[in-house]
Amino acid sequence: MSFELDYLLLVFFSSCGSIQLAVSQGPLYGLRFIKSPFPNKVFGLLLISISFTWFFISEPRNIPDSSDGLNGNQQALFFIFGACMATIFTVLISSLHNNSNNRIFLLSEPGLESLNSHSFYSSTRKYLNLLWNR
Amino acid sequence: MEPLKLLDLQLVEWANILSGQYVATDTILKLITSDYLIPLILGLILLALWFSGDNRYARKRNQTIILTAVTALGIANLTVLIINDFYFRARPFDEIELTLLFYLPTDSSFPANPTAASIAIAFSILREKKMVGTITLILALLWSMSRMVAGVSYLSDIAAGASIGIVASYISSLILLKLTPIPDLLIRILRILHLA
Repeated sequence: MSFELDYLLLVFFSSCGSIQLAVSQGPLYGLRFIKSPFPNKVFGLLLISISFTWFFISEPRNIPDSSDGLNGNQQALFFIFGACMATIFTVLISSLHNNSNNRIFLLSEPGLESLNSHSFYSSTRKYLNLLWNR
Repeated sequence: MEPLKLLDLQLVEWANILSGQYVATDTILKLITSDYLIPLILGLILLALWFSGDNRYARKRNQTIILTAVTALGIANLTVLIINDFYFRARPFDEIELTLLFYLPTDSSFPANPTAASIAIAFSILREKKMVGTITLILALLWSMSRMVAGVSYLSDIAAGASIGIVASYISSLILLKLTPIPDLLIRILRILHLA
């Protein structure tokens, strides 16, 4: 695999782990892969540690940007792309996983807090319905 | 200037004694010095901060910190780029014989770009969130100092980079304070998408 692809995979998986770590501590249940906070936190930590271990152990990574490595700007772009992909992936997986959640849902305004009780998919659908019926 | 240059060289030589002694310490040093470890950890901290917070106000505060940090990073990089256009300083390994743990960078040693960028991020966070800010500051300092041990930066490069980073974070917070409607608009758009 090319260095760029390896780095992108590292960013993607570690970003997924990082998001799971963050949502494990807060009230955003709708973005969690696992409902209970502690196992979800462990899962996030595992994702980060496995992806870093794989990246740094699989091959020598002390590569200059004049060779096959990435310069600062390329790293930033790859990070933004990988982190966006990880966010989209998290939203999709958590929506599929948490969609059976049918608690009473009072959606007053949009924002991450709507994911306190519902998945991204159900809150977006309800918000769009709300806008449509206005 | 000459005594300062000499002191700089002596400090690198002294720090470089740690290199090439043991395989384990060399491996750890190579990992910390790497262009890909600490920058990515800093990025992941910013990403986690985006989704952190108990309510919308706490989250908005965190998201504003991230926008400040990213703007500070841009200002710090631009400043280093401009300085590099006017001044070139050879790397320590060009001046004295050192045990190298890093590839041979060809760009100017002064000011240290990694330090400027990471300190800019760390200080932007530190002003608002002490705990996370302290962790990022430790990571930034670890990354910067490891480059001196690895023989690719002088202490004065690191000091100059750190100063640029600190000033950049203050300028960035001032800019965002003056242009509050712009980050507010960005956050409002992302809120419609349930992403902020």
